[in-house]
Amino acid sequence: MKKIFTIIIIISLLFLTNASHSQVSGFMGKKNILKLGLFMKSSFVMPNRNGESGYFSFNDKYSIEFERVLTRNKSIQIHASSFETYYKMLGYSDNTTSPLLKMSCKSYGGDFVMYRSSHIAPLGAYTSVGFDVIVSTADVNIDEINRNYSYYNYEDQSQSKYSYPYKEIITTHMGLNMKSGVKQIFFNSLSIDFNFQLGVIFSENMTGGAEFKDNVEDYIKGRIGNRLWGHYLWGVNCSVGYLF
Amino acid sequence: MDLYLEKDKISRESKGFKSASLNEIVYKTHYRSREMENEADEKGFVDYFSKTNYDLNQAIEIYDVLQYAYLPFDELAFNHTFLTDSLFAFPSKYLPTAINPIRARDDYDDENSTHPNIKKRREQMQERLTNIDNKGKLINPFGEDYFIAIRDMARFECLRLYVIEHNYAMSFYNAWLMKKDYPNNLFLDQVLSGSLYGMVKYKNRDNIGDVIPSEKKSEGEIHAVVSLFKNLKKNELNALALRYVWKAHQKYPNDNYLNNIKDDLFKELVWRNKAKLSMFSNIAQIHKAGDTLIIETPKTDSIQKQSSKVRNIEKKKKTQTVDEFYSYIFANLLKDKDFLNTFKQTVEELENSKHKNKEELTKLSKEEQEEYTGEEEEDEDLYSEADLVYTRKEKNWGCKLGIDSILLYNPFYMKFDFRSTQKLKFFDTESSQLNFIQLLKKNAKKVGLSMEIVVPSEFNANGTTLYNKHLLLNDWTDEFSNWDLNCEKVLFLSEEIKPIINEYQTKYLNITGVISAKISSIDNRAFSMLLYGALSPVMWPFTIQYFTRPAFQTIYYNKLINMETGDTEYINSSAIEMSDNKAYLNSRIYDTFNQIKTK
Repeated sequence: MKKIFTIIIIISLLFLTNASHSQVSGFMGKKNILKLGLFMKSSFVMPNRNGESGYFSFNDKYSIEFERVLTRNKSIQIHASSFETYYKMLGYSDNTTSPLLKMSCKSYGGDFVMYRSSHIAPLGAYTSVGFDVIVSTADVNIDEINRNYSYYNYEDQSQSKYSYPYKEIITTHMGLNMKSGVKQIFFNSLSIDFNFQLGVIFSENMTGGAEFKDNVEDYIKGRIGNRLWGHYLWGVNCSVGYLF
Repeated sequence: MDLYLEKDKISRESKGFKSASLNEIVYKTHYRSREMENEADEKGFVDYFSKTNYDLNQAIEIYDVLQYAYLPFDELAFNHTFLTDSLFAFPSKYLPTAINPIRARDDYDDENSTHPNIKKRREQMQERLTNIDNKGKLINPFGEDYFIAIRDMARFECLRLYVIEHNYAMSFYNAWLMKKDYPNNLFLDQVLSGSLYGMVKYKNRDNIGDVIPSEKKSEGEIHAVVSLFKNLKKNELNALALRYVWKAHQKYPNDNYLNNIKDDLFKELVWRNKAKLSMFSNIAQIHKAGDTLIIETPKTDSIQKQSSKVRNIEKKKKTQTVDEFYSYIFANLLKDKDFLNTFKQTVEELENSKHKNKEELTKLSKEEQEEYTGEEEEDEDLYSEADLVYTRKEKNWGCKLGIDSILLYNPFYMKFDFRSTQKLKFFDTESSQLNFIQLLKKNAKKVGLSMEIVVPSEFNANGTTLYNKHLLLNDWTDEFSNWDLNCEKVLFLSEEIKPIINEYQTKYLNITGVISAKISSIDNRAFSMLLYGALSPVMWPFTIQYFTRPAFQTIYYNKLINMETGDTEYINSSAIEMSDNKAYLNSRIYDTFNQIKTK
């Protein structure tokens, strides 16, 4: 969490230094946008909410966003979003038979949006850097864990049968993203925004998901982290907003 | 167009406007203009000139006038003593040994000209004159006096245009010619002073080539004038100009223009050329001996001493060449108390300003200080307080000018389609210009900025007053944009524009415009767009759009000028790869007006 606060402080300082020298016009005096967003990503890397994979099935994510213009060509944005996906608990030999498990995620974050110097926020082409805190609630298949735990420890038959206590596991990951897009305004109050996103997830358990080891919780968190990493890597976001 | 295509040099992107030069656009637009000009000659002669009482054979003479129109009004040897007196003379090396001959041709290649060459036009007129009835026609049906009055009126107007266009050699030489007939004419003194002043400003910034043609290209007697002004050193030209303008100011003490340029010339001499009173002598005896003068001169600091006895004791004889004539330029003027006081006052102002600038510097951040002091080495103009403020204003994104009312002059709009043969879209341009004016009005109202507009489209048959305002504003903006120097300056039309300032109750003139172009979207990004599309269906909408829609480039430009001082108060410009849609224009216009209005 310390990292998050450091980033927030740095971004806030950036705003302050810029704001002190700038004349903020917004779009004809309007500096706030409330947006509803739809994020789409081809599910060939990860299955969508119906467990389908491929180029033409998409993972979707819905979000509500609020953008506030701070300087002539910079703005800040906060957003909350929700999405569902599926993951497989096993990442090795047995994964073909491993069932898909549901994973519900809530994401909260902020973006620092920099419009091109020739544009005036919130109109035109922009690049943004932002962070997300993603809280994932993933279903856990206890039987599968138990079975694989036994498999992993098959030489040591003296140990009693492992019993994982939870039916679901909650994890928190932090992601950093960069977006590049363009915003157009119609009727002086309706904004339409398209952007392309690249992002990375920071997870201490990332490597843990590669191989089933005796720490089951780390392993599952690692699997979830891997799935989020794939989800967060890139995508296209579209949002419609109201200027006021 | 000139204002931003030539003067402000907005950086343009890699394609679009760059792919077609302005000349190409003009040629394309006027590709049948030579035929039209022939038709105009025909109609002008048959429908109008042949029905007057003028001797029809004079129609041929018109082409002589046209052929030599680039030359001055007359060909008289320039007498350089016009700028000197008995106390000093120019070195002979400043004057050409031989005057360049006049090379005017009438049979030049007119392939890229808007008009046919003179020879062709003359021959066609000759054909029209065969078998024409010229009975009772006179060379001068209204009398010679009337002709001369009209001719001189046109010549005075020409002088005004030469100064506005910064064609200073022509304005100076022609005004000198006309002074023979009008020795006590204030306007001629203004033109002569204004020309000298303009040349000093450019010379001091090493740009004299922008306002004077090269010696090679000068033909006829004007060559002597060009040679003199080219060869004079910065401080020499500055002092000479000040000497002339001071005398003109004494002759017309109530003329504000002469008074203002006199002050600025003092500033240029002291601030830029580092002149000190001690550099000039108030006594000089010159005995001509070829190119070497025997000059009896006092010690350089003796002029400050009141006692003639001491002064005389300090006198010593020395021999020097005419190269040192600089010291004697003010020989007569240094006896004038007003001149001496103004000189001293300017030196004091310089010292105060240096002190003030040091204080200003301490207010800047460390980075800005480094940048500023770095610039100072290259550009001595930064001694000027105004320049420092200007630099700071430009550095910040956005400013708060706190201006309540502006005068908007003739917003322009141009739409191009570089994919078609007819690149300039006339009808789109006209309708877009009207919409643009509406957006400007709407945004000014929204911001609470009081805005008056002068646009030619509002002229009507009885609107001579509006037309005259338009002409004056047009000339003023022309002169303003011709000043290609980032420094304080006094415009030649600075006094003429005052009635406009009073009428509209604002000294701020706003010039704005948009250039928008459609260009082919297929460029060096085509391969990468194809690749993106192949890699992911998500990118298909972008790829399809890229290959099916044209690309756009739009330039928006807005400049706020102080008509009293001739300073640029604010510039808002942008070049984007987007269409000139309403949202973009609204965003830009609102932002501009917001910065102008906000306190």
